[in-house]
Amino acid sequence: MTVTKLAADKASLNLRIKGYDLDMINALRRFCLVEVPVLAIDDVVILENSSLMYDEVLAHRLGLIPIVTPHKYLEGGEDGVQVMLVLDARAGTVTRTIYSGELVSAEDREVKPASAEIPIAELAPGQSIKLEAYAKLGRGKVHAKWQATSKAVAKPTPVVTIKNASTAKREQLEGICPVHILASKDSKLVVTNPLECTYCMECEKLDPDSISIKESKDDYIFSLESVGSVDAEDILMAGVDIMMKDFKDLHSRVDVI
Amino acid sequence: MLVPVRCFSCGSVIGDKYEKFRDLVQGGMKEDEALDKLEIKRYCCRRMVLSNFNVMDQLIPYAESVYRLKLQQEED
Ligand code: SF4
Ligand SMILES: [Zn+2]
Repeated sequence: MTVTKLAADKASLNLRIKGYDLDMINALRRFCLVEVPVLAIDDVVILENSSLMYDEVLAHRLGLIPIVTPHKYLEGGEDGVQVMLVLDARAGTVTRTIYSGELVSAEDREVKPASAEIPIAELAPGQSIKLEAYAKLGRGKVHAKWQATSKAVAKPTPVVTIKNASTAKREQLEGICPVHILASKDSKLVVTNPLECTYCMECEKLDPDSISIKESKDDYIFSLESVGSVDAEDILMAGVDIMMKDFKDLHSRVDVI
Repeated sequence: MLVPVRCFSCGSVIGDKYEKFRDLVQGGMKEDEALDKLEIKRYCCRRMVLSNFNVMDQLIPYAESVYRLKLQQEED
């Protein structure tokens, strides 16, 4: 088994995994998707709300804001750990929008919204919102607001073969590819980055004689995208850890029988 | 209401990108270029931003006039 990093930053991670079963990659994918614990606002105590937005809608919007989850919660945290955040906003003499940046925690400074620019509500002059929001540790299988990822996908690595390079349909083929990976070079058709291929099959439909798209076996591209609460690489690591823990748990239970 | 916080289909955060998108488009940029610039890649997220209509903008004037009325009454 070989793993190569194709691209990685805080928000996303692309790996190429060779010689590993799809079943296992899929299990890992699902663990990253629904088992990694993150903080999300679950309880809201509304002390004051004279805005045009109903309490329920306001609470729902707060719940969907991704909250930065420090490492200590990922490792030792039990489900149900909570951190209080407060929002105290008032409009003076002009209408203004309240953004997620105004949601702050006095208990733990590291716990804050992943983006400070998400609009929460609009306040007309004289209106105000005052509330306590309790962020709790939870898992994506309970509610989507606890998902750490917005994308967790495994796809077989595409193999794009050009059979007949100097075809009359070259220009058409170039234009039809939605991810622009087919290009002309020295009056020949070349594939610039076969990994980007989305298997749309438009090129093969247009001219099956000159190009063919195949899925390779035992060679997959695994990509993760974080919503901002946990870095993409940490999501993968946490996913692996939780998967191992579950397997060990299963092992010990089977041992007893 | 206001722009949704997340994409309905995939769950990525788009709430913080709508205002930037609106400003870019008002500044004369084409919609597809603005979406590309904000790195909104999937079409589920693109339609969230592209098709959003801010109902709040139509409701706020009523609340503003209520405020003005109150100020006037206090003056009288
Ligand atoms: S299958 Fe689609 S994405 Fe892949 S090379 Fe052909 S046209 Fe491009
Ligand atoms: Zn989406």
